[in-house]
Amino acid sequence: MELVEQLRGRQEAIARRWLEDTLATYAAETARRLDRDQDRFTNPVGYALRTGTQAVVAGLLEGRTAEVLSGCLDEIIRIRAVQEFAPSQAVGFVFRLREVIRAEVQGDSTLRPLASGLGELEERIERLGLLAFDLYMKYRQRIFELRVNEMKRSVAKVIERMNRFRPGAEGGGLEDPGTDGPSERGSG
Amino acid sequence: MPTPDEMAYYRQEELLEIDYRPPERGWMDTPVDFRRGSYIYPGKAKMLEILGLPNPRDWAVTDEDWKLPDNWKQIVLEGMAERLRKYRSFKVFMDSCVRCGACADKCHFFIGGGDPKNMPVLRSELLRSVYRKDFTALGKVLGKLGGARELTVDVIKEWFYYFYQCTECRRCSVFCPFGIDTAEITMMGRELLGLLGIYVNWVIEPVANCYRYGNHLGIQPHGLLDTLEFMADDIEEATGIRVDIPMNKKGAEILFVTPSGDFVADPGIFTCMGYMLLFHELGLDYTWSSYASEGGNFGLFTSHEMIKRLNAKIYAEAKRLGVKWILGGECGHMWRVLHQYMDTVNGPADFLEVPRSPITGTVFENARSTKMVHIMEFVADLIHHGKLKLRPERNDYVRVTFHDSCNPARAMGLLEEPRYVLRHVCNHFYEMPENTIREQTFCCGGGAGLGTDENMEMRLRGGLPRGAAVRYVQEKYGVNRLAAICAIDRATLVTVCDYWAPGVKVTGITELVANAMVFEGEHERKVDLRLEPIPGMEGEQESEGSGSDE
Ligand code: SF4
Ligand code: SF4
Repeated sequence: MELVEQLRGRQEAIARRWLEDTLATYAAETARRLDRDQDRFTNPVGYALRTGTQAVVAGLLEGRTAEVLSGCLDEIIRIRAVQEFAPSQAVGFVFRLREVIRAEVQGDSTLRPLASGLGELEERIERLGLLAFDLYMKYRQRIFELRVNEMKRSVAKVIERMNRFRPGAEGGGLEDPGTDGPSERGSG
Repeated sequence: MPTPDEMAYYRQEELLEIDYRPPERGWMDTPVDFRRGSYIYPGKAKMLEILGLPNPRDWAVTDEDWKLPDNWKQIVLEGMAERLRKYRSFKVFMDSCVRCGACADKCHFFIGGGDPKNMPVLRSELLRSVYRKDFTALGKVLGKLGGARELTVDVIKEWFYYFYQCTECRRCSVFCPFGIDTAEITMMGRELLGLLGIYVNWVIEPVANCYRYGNHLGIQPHGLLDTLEFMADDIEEATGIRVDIPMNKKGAEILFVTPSGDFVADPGIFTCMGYMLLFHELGLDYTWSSYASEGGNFGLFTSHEMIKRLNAKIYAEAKRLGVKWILGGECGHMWRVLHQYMDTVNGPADFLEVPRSPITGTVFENARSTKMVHIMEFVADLIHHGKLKLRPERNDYVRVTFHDSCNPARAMGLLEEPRYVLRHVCNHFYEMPENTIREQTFCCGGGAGLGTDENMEMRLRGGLPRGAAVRYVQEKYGVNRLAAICAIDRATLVTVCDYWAPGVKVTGITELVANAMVFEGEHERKVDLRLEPIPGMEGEQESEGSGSDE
């Protein structure tokens, strides 16, 4: 895979292009700020995007296992799973890597003759896309579990039990407090 | 089909091009798009009725028609005019922003989510643009060019969406050169929405409960006593000590008030058990109140009038019971109210004495006016005077970091006391990175009435910066506990950690204090207050005095 070897030398440029492409899925003002602040704590999303895309490109060109690649993608997908993206947008950026690499090859006359190697690389990217989808589902699932866990920890039922026993109150106790929780229509 | 070595192959790129980039549009022209996971369900009609609030009705956020009163616009503009007269800070904040952008990337909701309208400067522009249009001469003339816009139903909807994506944490205000406090603008925005009967149920139901029963959860007096009795049983199992539960005890020296989250929710209850043990050991002459059974005050997330209404019970109960001063538990927004509003809205508390610790004799001059002392100040003073017998090694299985809760940190400057206490009760305490703690602390993402579950994605986005810093110390130092002195944190950070830093559990500080304390007459301490085995302490009595860790 001569192409892959050549591309390894341009790893950084590819990752940068891909990062820019991914940043463009955010509002323009947001993208600028995600790119500018290098601090991992005040800009955790920018940090995850930058380090994640670099790691994925390196791993992909080095032919790393699915497990390793999945680890590189993990944080980005964990983040995008809670941002306001449609599922296709949340994972779609992975497939854009194909275009990024094609553009890199197309833009360089020394690489173009090696383009027959693209097929395999693109297959790897497709597999990467599927990994991203798995991760996305894993995190969406987790969000719902967290909701359920909160409901389980929810105190409403405990209080209901606590208030049931009313010493000395013969039916004339206080009206029930509202412990029925929220509902979509605000009724009930 | 062209092959990759033919130029035509590359042209597919254009064919594949899909329009995934968000269009560049001015914020005023971007209408609000209510996303599931980002908005909170509306307040139920019956809650509004209980509180005598306007326009009670059943409606859904996604309804086209929010059933606003016919003269809704007049109501909002008059409400705004009234508040501009009444609160000087509101007027100053409306006038003085120069849109420098220093606050723009300081909000956890913007940092984690990326929606530009969650930049504090834009959040306040939502209101300011209407202010310009209707209250400034320039705005009237220049209109949109001058950053002014017409008040429409869509604007109201946008206010609802974004003023309930602000946790009133005040992080942004730390960075504003003019000290503009977006939290206060959010509070104003919510008050104005309230005039139209627009509330969220997660706030207004607790408010309605608090109004009738004294606490957000609607726990009635016998229920409160029962729950404390349950805790006393667990305390006995863990320590062999039976603690008293002084309830509504007239003539007690101290009234103790804490958020009701500590009565029922795990892990808050362990902190509550900690209070009971501590007071027992000190022989403190204190009392619980079954009516001032809530330190928290969701009125803060509703309106100034509601803050006053709900908080009045604290002084009223102090007076009725004839105590000398008030001690308050671990809570966040409760302390913002007590520290910044109580004196003005419910004071003066001239029937109380300046708080003085009966154990150390320390006079809490800082509480001279409110007469209310924070449990961390109280405990730090006890430790400082050597009044607690501590065995921090009992907490050696805990590797703890400390989350500065927004309100104690930014609204009352309580930065050192909790750290001082933690260092004395734990041997393994690690700070999170400097730019994520103290005054710059990141919010849990679920304060100010956002801690419900239908907006889970929003909360997780908001909790990302905090979660990322927790995971950093987890990976670097093996941190497995996150301590927080706030009841909302103790509920919401559990979820934040489960998502961003799984494996880290949440705790209150008094729980750790009680686990480290040696009590008079205690039996062998094999389990902690969670009734979980204490690693390395299974046979502590035998190894004592042997000088060996074996
Ligand atoms: S930092 Fe202050 S003056 Fe600057 S944009 Fe933000 S609120 Fe306005
Ligand atoms: S107060 Fe907190 S939540 Fe609200 S805009 Fe400022 S930083 Fe964001």
